[in-house]
Amino acid sequence: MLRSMTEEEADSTRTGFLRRFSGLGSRVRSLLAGASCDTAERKQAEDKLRRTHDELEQLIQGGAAQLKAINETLQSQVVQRQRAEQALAEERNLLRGLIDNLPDRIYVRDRQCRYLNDNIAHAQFLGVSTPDSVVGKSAADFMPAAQAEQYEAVDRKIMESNQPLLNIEEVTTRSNGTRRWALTTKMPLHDARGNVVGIVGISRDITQRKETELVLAKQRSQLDALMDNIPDAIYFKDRQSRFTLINRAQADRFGLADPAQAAGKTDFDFFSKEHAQPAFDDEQELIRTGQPVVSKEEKETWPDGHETWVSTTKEPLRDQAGKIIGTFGISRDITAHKKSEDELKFAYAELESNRGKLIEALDNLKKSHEQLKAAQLQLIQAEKLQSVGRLAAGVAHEVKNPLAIIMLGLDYLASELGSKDATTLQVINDTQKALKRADSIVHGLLDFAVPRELDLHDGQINEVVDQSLQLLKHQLEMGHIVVVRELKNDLPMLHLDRVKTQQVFINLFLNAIQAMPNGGTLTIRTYTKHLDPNEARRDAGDRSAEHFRDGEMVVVAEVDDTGTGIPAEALAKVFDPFFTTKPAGQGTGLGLTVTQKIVELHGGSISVCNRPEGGVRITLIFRVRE
Amino acid sequence: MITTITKRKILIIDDEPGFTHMVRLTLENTGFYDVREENKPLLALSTAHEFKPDLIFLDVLMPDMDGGDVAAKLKADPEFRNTPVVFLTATVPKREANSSGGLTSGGFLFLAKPVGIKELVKCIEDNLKPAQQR
Repeated sequence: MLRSMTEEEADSTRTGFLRRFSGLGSRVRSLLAGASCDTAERKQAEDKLRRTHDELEQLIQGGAAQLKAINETLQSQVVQRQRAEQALAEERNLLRGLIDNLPDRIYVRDRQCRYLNDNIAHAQFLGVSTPDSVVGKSAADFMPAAQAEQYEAVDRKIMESNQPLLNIEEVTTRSNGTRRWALTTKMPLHDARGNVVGIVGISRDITQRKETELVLAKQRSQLDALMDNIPDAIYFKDRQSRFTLINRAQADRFGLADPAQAAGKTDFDFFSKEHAQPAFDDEQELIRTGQPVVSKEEKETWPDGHETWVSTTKEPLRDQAGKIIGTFGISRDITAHKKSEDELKFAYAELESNRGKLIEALDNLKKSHEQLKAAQLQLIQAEKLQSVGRLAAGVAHEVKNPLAIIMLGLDYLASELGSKDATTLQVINDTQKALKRADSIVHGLLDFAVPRELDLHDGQINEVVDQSLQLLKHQLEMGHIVVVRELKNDLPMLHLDRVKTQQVFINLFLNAIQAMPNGGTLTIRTYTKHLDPNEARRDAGDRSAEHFRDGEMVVVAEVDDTGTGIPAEALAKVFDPFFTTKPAGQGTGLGLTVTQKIVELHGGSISVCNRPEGGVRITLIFRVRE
Repeated sequence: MITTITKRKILIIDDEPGFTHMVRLTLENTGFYDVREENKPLLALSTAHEFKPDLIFLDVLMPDMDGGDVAAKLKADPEFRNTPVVFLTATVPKREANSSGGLTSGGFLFLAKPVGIKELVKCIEDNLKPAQQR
């Protein structure tokens, strides 16, 4: 096996050979110089030359062999070297490729913290395209000075201490403001003599992990805040219903200083069995079926006997594979609510028991209200009527004097001119009729206006009816009115002003006659009755009449006609002064007003309605004399 | 033989001159009455003394003195104690006057305004004896 010749050995071989070859030359040159002397000498010289030549030949041959050996050795060495270099280059390329393809950032810095080498990941991190672009530069060329200074301080510390720094977390703020985290290991770089000539660093980007950690930390913090502050009790249990985690509120309910103290315990450790058992059963059922318990109201019984109420929701707790590994739940204390509910139920029951009384009271209140309303309306009406009355009296009195003058004047004219001219007499007659109409209106006003005392005597209503009919006999006949008298015998005596009561019936009969221009039936009905509560109350607010009493005996007179009736909208106004449904000139609008006034002066009441079968019914109610 | 009819003397006391004038005109127009008007109630008694009426028509509501007072003074005077006094008033409806027979609660006669000549004449004639019988 050929030993590889060192460089020194090769140099020595080469030098020896050249030295020997150099002496041979000087001898050849001296032989050539003496050739010109003589033949002997020449022959001698030739022999010598021949020997020298042979010697030389031998030398050359020997040297050539040596050279050949050397050459072969050298060639072998060159080949070896080339192979070694090739292997080295391949190794370097492999290493380069390796570090360039590593996602971790790798970099080497000298003692002045200048980059000597780095990989692609590091170059890209610094924002350049190739690792060569970084060589010779410092961190400050790529990042804010403060940041660079921090890095270099760490590097210097490593170089000074000659100690590596392992797995430190570094945060870098990029020019765009984003932050990147890296897990970095830095170690001192030594030369062949062991001197520290720089540092080698390798940094792994852990930004995603850090961000995930931050998100998780934030979520954890929120969860902790929720667990610590929510007033509802939250708890997690394993498959055996042992607490694995409870929140602050639950710990407080259990009287635990630290929620961790509940770990491994069960409801049986805190509640009486009365509550713990059904709660346990619910949870085991939930674990078996996966069906949650939602808003279940539970009564909690505690060892000291006191009771609380909660609204509980429990859900299955699953692992990532979906397998149920326990339960978790939240319970809201509704004790106060339940108490209020119970009180409400009690109050409701009480209310229910008082409902009948309340309804009755309400009914009475309503009736009182209606009575008050009626009284108020009547008071208003009374005020109105009094005002109108005063006005009417004044007007009537003032109008009568001129009417008196006109009447006498017409009489005078009639006596002076009537006999001479028929037309003049007709004009005077027409004027006298108009005058009488005006006079009747003024009379009506006075009737309405002047409140007079009644001249009351015991009397029978039937007699007054008959007298009134008698007075109107002529008009009834002329109007083709059939009179039907349904007058009950033996009616009780009434306190009556005969004249005014007669005026009442005459007014009513005249109205009926006018309501039946083509004839009809006038029915007058009298009878006694006892007032029912509604009828008594109807007149309770009457201003002038004494109030009728419930069950009081009264005499009723009804006047029915078979006319066309009164329009519904006019019914409420028929007693209003100057309201009339009759054609102009046929009514003063005071008849029913005066009639009502007279009836009320008697302590009675009057009402009007349309009869279902047609026509109008006027109902008068008079108090029986006591 | 010519019969001379003595006209009846009628005094009308009312503060409304238009009315007294018309009463005078219509009554005198019949030819049977001599009428004197007095519009001031305070002068009623002196006018009556001077005129010596057979019948007096008297308004009720008048300024200064109402008809009731005037009537009381007349009735207190022996000369007029028997002279019929008829109230002519706008305060009482005709129906009441008729239904009460024309008498007030104090025994005075009364007529409700407005009143026609026939009513006036009837009232006068009903309350006075024939002139020849006086």
